Amino acid sequence: MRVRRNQRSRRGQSAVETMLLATMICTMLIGMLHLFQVTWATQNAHIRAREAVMHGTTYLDNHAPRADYVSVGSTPWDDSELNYKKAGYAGSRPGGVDVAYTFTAEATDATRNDSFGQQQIEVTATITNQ
Amino acid sequence: MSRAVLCFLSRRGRSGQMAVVMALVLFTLVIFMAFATNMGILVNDRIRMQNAVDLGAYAGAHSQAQVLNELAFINDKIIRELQDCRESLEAQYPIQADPCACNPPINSIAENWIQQCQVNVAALVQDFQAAAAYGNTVSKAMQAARATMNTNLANLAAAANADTHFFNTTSGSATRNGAYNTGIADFEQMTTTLHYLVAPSCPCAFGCCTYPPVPSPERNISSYFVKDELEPTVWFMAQGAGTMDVPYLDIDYNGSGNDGGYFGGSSAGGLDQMFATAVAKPYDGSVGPTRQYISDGRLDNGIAAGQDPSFQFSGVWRSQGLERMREYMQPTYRARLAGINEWSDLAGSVPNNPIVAIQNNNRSGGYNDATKMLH
Repeated sequence: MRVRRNQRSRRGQSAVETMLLATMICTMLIGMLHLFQVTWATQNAHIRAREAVMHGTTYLDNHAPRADYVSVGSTPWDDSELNYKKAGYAGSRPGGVDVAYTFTAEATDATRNDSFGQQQIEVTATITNQ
Repeated sequence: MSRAVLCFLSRRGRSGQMAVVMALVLFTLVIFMAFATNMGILVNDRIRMQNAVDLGAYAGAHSQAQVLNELAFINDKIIRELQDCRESLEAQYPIQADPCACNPPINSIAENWIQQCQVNVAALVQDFQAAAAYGNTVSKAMQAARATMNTNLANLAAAANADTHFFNTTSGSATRNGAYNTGIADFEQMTTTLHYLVAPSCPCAFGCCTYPPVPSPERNISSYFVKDELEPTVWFMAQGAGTMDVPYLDIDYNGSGNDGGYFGGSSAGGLDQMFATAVAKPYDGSVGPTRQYISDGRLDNGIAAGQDPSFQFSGVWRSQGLERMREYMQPTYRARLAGINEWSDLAGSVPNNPIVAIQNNNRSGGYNDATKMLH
């Protein structure tokens, strides 16, 4: 009788433990997947920002790679010439050649909206002499 | 042993079995998760650092291009001033000498023009000297590179800090090829000679008699500058460096060009360095403020470069020599990023120190492959 009662009390224990373990494993796997997405999105945003600050949207379109994920301030790229602009200079103004320049572009990307939510990544790339 | 005892031992041995399994599994998962997180941050840091260094190299080359454009522009203004002066003298041909200015025959008005030209050129020469000194001693190109790197990756340009994720010490530096200093000492100042045709007026039996035109005395004017350099292209390199906190995640870029890292060969926890190269290059046939053109045989002597090779006292005065100098000294410098293959081509293989590779090869070989200079 005693043995039977012990056996009955342990009935389903494995199922519960397995369920708990599986839940934790799934959570961690999904978490890792989400971390991967964050990393991926961050890299995307960085690469987009770098491309945008160098060349604007010249080589981007609305398909892939997408131009609508970037916001271009100013770039050293001349779209009409498909070449970098000639470097600006002071024109021998008194005070030398310290012509300030700042080229900037912003880029975004986001993770999927899963059980860990959605993370927006925003990156600003800058070329400046200031 | 009886069956009952075996049964008892077996059940007793299983108690806590799942706990052990769970602990092992969880431990493994946590390790994996930490590793995945670290790798993500590491890769992200690396991309950020490479981008910061790339943009820094571009900024340096862009500032270098600004300086060289400024110098070429001032040279252009100097030459234009000399052209104007010469054309003004030419327009007055033939010029009558001052009354009884026989030896040397001069014309006061023309002499005043030349004097004014000297004053104007001297002011531009001062501009050139200031621009050259400013661009060189302040190292604007290096500052720009560091500023850009610092903006894109906070404190990368600082000597040491602990701000970035895995880089416990980071530094950003920029190196310009030392041969391309823009200090005024690196330039040679040309001398342009101005004179005019004047009809001497010498004493004669009837007072002063006018004689056929002869050249006036020569007036030498210190004019534009040329750099004693045949290669107008300037290479620029930016470098970002840091040390990983976690040695087994080290991505030390070793001499063979292979990354280390956990799955790679090098895991020394050494300095991680990112390099980027950029180039400032004149376009449209311009050689900037270098002397490439005047060494082409036609205008070989810099001192004579301001003189018209087809100079004729008896013909129309032309400023062809100066015009050609202007044509080749236009401020058309642009900056562009250079690929790693370009400097590896220079060296013949991926060098450990690209600075040295660029210097050596650019100086001796005159890297001038137009197909790689499209933009």
